[in-house]
Amino acid sequence: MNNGYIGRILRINLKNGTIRKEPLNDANASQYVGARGLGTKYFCDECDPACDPLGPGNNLVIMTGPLTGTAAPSSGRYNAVAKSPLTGTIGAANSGGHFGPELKFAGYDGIIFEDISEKPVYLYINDDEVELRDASHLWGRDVFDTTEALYEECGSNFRVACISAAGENGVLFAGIMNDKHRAAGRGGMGAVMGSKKLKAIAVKGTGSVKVARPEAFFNEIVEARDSLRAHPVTGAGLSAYGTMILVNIVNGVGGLPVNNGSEGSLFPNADEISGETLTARHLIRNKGCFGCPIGCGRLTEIKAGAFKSKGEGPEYEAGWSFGADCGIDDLGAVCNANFLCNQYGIDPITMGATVACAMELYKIGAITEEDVGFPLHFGDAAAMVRATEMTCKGEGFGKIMGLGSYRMAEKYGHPELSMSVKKQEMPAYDGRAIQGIGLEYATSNRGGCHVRGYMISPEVLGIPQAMDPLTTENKPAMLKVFQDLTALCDASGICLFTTFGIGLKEIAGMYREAVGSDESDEEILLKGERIWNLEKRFNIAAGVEKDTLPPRLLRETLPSGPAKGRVNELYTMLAEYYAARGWTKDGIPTDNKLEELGIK
Amino acid sequence: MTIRFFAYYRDPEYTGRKEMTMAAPHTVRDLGDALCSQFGSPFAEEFFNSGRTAPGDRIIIMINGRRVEFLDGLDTLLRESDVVQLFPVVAGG
Repeated sequence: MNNGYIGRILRINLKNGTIRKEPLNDANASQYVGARGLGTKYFCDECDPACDPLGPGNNLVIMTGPLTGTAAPSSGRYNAVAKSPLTGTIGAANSGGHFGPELKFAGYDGIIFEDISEKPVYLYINDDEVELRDASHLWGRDVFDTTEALYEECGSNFRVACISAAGENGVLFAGIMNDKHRAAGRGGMGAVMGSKKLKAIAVKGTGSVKVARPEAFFNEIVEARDSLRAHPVTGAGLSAYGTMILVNIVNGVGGLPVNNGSEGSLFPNADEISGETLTARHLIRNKGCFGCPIGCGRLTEIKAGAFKSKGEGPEYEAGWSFGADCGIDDLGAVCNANFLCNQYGIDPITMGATVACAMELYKIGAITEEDVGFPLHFGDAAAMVRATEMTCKGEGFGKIMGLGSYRMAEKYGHPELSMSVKKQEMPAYDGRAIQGIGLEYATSNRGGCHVRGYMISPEVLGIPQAMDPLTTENKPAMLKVFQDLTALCDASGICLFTTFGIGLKEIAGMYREAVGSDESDEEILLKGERIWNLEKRFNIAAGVEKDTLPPRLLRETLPSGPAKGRVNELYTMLAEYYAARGWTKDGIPTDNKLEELGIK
Repeated sequence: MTIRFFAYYRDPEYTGRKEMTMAAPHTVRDLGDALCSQFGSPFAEEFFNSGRTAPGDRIIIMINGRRVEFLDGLDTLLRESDVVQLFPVVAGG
């Protein structure tokens, strides 16, 4: 097809081994764009919201967007969509690298995996040649090892997405790793893949992606790339320092949670785990995803000492979770733990936050050395790395940590010590110091998450305009716009980081010329709102708990810093947010709203 | 007072410093004049906007963790106990 889409998807039934090539649902693609949006639409049309996330009824949908694999900037994205075993919500995890574009080059917009295989398999795709192959010899092997084995078996020019033993063994926050280091990381999509006995997907394609109006599309791309190049963040800052550059500024506003948030959000040694320090001491070189002019990825190395290791990252969130959240200022240990997460394919946000929660349980005596196997004090770098490794490998207490912080804390009688929303751990910003991000955590359709509506952008970074992090005014309306625009961006197939330098005008412009649409910017943004409401409707049907925050954020005041004495004013913002969304006061999309958006 | 520099403001061509102390100037504007005079270009092009009415569009100026936009802007009064943090516009996530 000549509209950004390939026009074809793969449907794989893992139980009976059938492989079908079927036309893309054009009407749904027009309404839900692609990737996160279209993947969710396929999922919701075919799966029972009450399904067991690790059972046969939970389809796993891999979906690209219309801009994926085009010349649009940072267009290497795809989404993995299924019901999340961690949260019970819709789980849509987004990843970059080169896997998504390669799938389109092979001739497919996406893949739907149904049911469960009797034995371990992997999916081999070489243009039109598609096979389910035995993966018994790969079962139990880690991400790097599996990827290398598939390069050897299929060819070094294949792109591989896979899981490790963590996904196979049901670590509830196991991700799907592609190109070794890129992750569809949050919500346990790797555990879903493991439950299906699907070890990997190896793909190679020789085709290309064609757009509807090539000349106009080219002009839009030039404009978007110029804007990204001219912006201080996307043109220089992210490339120079990576995402870890946020450590000092978030700590600067008193918003970097320390010791599971129990010690406030000012970390005295933040600079030791900052982007500046990572760049000065450990950076080997930058690394970018498909078609990305930003190149925020980092290849890093700890050259000596107890944490000698080499890999990619860490990103800011992992820098915090293994760092300040565990009271640790040893960047070598932080990097080492992050490398383990890549090697074993697990989400480092949930991992680090779960270790931090375990450290607090240990501190209050709810768990002991006997439970863990060793002392687990805040600030103990070696213990943090060991706890991470045990979880990756499913050893001892690691099996309990593999359930995530909520289930672990609940088991030991203190669910309130899990810093999670809908059982997914909140990332690296304290909602007491930054009010709008607290509202985002509470309302995110996949549980505690920052990248559904990144309010840090206006509240801390001043992009596109500065908003006071301590106030609640205008935050609900701004968050709604951010969430809808993010859904559109995710669905289009380009990276969210582009939105530091470009906005709706550029994204809508590229989308319009790629697919051959004459819709206005506003009509295109409405697709983002449609995706958001579809996700919310699924969550309600799945019986997901109400939008709220951990009691710590609502009741325990911050002890120091610019936000001293504050809690998150969630209930001041929530009613206004629901009103902005046109939902009931209880946060349920009305029939009128669903009808207005054409959601059936 | 203490002044802390971050990201590329630490590079030799900007300030070559992570941190410095100085007697507190009267206002943030006075602080900007002092720092621009001390470090010269290219740092001097960062601190003020073209009309000297607000911070430049590539700098974030915080006093004790609060952006000056939410205080009294460049007219914010300074005290000896203040900690000033100067960030270029950065992002991540």
